[in-house]
Amino acid sequence: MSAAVVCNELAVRHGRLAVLRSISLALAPGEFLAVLGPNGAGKSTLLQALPGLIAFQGTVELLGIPVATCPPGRLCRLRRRVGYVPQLHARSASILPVCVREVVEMGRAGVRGTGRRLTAEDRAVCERIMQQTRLTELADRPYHVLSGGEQRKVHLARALAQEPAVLLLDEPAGHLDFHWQEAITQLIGECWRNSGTTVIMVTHDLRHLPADISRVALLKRGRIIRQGRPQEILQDANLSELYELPLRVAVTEGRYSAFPEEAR
Amino acid sequence: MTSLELKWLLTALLGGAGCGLAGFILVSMNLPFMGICLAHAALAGAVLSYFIHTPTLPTALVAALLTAALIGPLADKTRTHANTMMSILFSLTLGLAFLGIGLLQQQRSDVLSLMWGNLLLVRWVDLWPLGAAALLPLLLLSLLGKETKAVLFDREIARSSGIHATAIYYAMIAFCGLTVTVNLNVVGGLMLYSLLTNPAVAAFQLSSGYRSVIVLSMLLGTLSALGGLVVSFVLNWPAGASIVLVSSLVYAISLTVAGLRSAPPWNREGPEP
Repeated sequence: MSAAVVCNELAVRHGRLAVLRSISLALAPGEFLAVLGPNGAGKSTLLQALPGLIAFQGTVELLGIPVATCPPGRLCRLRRRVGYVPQLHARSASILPVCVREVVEMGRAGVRGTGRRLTAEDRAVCERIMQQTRLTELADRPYHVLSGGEQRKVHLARALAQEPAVLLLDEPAGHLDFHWQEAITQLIGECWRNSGTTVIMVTHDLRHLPADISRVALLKRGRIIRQGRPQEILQDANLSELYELPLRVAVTEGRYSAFPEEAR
Repeated sequence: MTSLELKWLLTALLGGAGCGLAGFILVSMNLPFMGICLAHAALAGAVLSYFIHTPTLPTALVAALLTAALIGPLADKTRTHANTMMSILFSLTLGLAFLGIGLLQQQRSDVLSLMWGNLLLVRWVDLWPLGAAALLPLLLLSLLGKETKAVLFDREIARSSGIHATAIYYAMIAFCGLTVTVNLNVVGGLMLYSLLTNPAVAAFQLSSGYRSVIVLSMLLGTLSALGGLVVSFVLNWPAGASIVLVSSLVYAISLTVAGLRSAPPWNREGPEP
């Protein structure tokens, strides 16, 4: 089977600043890649570059389609197969009076096609996803009254409603309390295992990774310094180098965490 | 009702509804300042038309659309927030409009009427563009309902999920530019801002449903324009200023009504744990 995501020598510049430099990745369908790195490493930029949301140099192929040379109409159709959950705390909240169900249905807006109304099938998909993400009770609640954790869940459901082949998650559990960090992490793990979607998730916290993920890449100052299986990459020395801090890695039932050495 | 009164009534109806709808779009996108920026760009375009001898309305519309098209790319390119870029373009276009008025030897009163507006001087022929400006964005919001809703909610998220978000965004802004331009001689470039913002913000206070906010924005826009017309007629006040006062009153009443309503079910205190 062909790769779900391939990028070669991917580079992004913001003016004179090189944000990403010669990134090369290849992911088979159904793999879960965690991209770890400190703040400012270029993690969010990588997720934005993959579906062509920002300009980049190099090549990216999503689901076998080259993104850089893709005509706008085809790129739109390609993005309908890619669920993207941006870093929500960095965005100003919308004041549009929409309820949870309406936000989740926005995930079907592209998929159904321009100018076409949502069908009973689309609504059924949204109801199923809301059930799966345990949002049914909140379905009629206005989006803007939700807590940060609930809003993340809604955006995860919106992206899942696309029934995506590739899911891009930007710190989905960042800036949340312990309860919500764990709830979102569990949910992402369930969705990945049940749907067979290829997932790329960026985070700076190992505890936000679901159990048994397949790949890890360490991103530092715009470059991937290590990538491979989690058992090989998530080692004390690699993470200490990544965060420039002596760290110890612990593994419990397939889940990873890291602590500063002095704290132990 | 005389033909003259019918014309005033229709002007207030179409102008108010159009401004209410454009206001809903701009307030939803958190860009209310875009309204005043487009209004002054249109004013500068209208002044320019007297120098280059072109029809006033199309020239004003081109100026408003050019400004709208410039805001996004300029803000992105210079890494400036869109609101800051709007402030720069707003003052530039206002300066250009005043420069033009200063240099203009004749027809100065015509140009000044665009700045202050006068609903009572609108001609029958002016009603067509007013109607088109109210209808076109409404058609866009109806025919591309799910797409426009997603873009108004979050343009980047809409783009990432495969919606033609940039085209829809600029279409909405262009229609707002059209509304602003055709309403220049009704309310005037300086006072249009209140008719764009107040009814829409009041509608957001009063309703929590997407469709009902759109309908309410248009209704409150119409109410403000009609109310302003009646006040202007009864008290012999300038129409533009009367509309501003009535729309501000509509907003104040909406705040009071919203404050009096009982808490929604999800916000009521439950039994003590």
